[in-house]
Amino acid sequence: MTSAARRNPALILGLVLSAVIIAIALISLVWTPHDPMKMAIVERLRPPGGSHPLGTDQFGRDVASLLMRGAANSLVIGFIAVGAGLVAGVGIGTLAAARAGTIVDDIVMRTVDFAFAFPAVLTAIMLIELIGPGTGDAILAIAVFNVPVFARLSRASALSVWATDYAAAARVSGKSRLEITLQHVIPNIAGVIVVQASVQFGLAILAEAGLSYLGVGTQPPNPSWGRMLNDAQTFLKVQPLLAVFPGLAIALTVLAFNSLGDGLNRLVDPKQRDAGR
Amino acid sequence: MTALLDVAGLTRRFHLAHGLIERPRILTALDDVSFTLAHGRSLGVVGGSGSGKTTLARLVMALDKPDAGTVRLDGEDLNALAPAELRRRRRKFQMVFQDPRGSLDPRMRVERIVAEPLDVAEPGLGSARRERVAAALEAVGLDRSALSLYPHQFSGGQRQRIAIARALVTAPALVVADEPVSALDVSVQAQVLNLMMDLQRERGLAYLFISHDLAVVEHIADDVIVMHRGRIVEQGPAEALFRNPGHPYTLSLVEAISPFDRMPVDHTVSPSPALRPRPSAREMLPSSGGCSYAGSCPFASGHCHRETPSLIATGEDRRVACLKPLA
Repeated sequence: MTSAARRNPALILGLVLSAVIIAIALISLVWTPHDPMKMAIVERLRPPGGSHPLGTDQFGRDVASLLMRGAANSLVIGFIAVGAGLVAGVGIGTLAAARAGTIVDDIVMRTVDFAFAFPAVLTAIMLIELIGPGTGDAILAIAVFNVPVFARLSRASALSVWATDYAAAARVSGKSRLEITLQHVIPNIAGVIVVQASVQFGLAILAEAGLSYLGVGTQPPNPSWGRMLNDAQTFLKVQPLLAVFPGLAIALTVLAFNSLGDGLNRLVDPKQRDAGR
Repeated sequence: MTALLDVAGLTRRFHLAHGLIERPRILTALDDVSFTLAHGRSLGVVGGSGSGKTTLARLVMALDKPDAGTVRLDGEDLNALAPAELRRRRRKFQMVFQDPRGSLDPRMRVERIVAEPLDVAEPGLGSARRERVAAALEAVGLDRSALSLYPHQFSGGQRQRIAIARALVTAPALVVADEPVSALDVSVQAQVLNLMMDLQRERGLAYLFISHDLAVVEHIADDVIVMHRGRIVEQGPAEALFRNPGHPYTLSLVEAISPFDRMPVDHTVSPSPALRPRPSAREMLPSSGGCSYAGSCPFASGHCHRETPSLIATGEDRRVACLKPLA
């Protein structure tokens, strides 16, 4: 453990932090110190202490409970959005690589470039026009933002697999492009994809917070870190800690998944791994 | 009887990357190459770097399409077949790659690697599949306990045996071997070569055996093609060709073999050509004409720089592309 920690501290930090965050999110589904939805105007804007370890917000809701339920909310949105982006992106990227140099490759990748040119926030605002505000459009917007990232990465990685002799050997065996993609390409690029996914997961949580802060993500009364930050703005002079706690939660979560990605990358990258031996 | 493999007029050009202002440049990797290979025979292909050997292997294996010419296997033009049809034919011609570290998927167990051609040729074998794979492994001298291991658990020589087992599992008629021993330790090269020759005797395989190492080709090949810059410069039975080279380039290759492992050379011709540095990409681009070897040839005259020699019969089964053949 100690030698592993010294060799790959990012992995240990990422694993521990993300495990804690996931545990908190899971616990919040069955237990929180107070009901995060329950308002109590007489108890509004309390400082931390007593029965409210992190104080209360402008409606007298318990901040600790809101943060816990907000973690579950963020993780679910991040998971679905990154998962959808990953599946679509890897599908597109490996298809383009299997048809490298053909018109299919060109059309697919130029379309991806086009999608990549739109910022996530702009995509989200356009989607709200189409389907109305809510968790759904935040997920969709973040997923759309993730597709090009995974498409480009998986195309580049898949091309290097297609260039190997074992891919040529599979063609010599008579395997079809689809079979080679499923049996050789995807297993051999899975490592880099997983690494990227954990980095994207951190970014997705940041994006969800940003969208909710703008009021286009998670809608009230569902707790969201981004909207808590937005609400706290109004009371910054009265109770600045209201902004500090959700801010810290976002920062720690992004740090957790970025470190996890970093650590996994070191584990997967053979050059760095062999250097460690 | 038709030849097993009939290659005619095979030509492949590559468009080299070029800048905005530069005109695109074309490298002719293979230029009008023709030969045949009969069932159960070995044809060695020798030549230096950039002579087009690997391009030839890829075209014969239909991993790449020619710009001109045909590759016929049992009389069937491989490039005229529909993709699905071609995939079904692949059981008849298999390949052994140069470096078994790269030709075996590191994430697959040996059983799955060796079974790969079998799964296409005879899907749904069930429990017989494992037996067929084990038999192929035993034929190359590996124990069936190898089935459940990963490639990195084997030595280089053992990995090349696994690659050979994969090539043989569908009982092909032709095996294309692209430098199959050059990535191996010298101590195991002979073992793998002898294994390949034993397998050829037992199964009547035909080999298209590509190598830069004449000593290796001399060991295994019945007939030899010598290639230089994408063209065949000499062709003939191995023993006659090595003993009595007809092309100055062949002579330079023969003289480069260590004296300990080559056949005696008839030294009536001299002087021996000086060792030349390997050609740069610029030198390999099409010249204004003339013999491609003229720049390095000790016997070249002005005539050689102007006229391109064609492949002409100089004796029984022998052809040389030289204006002033040595033999």
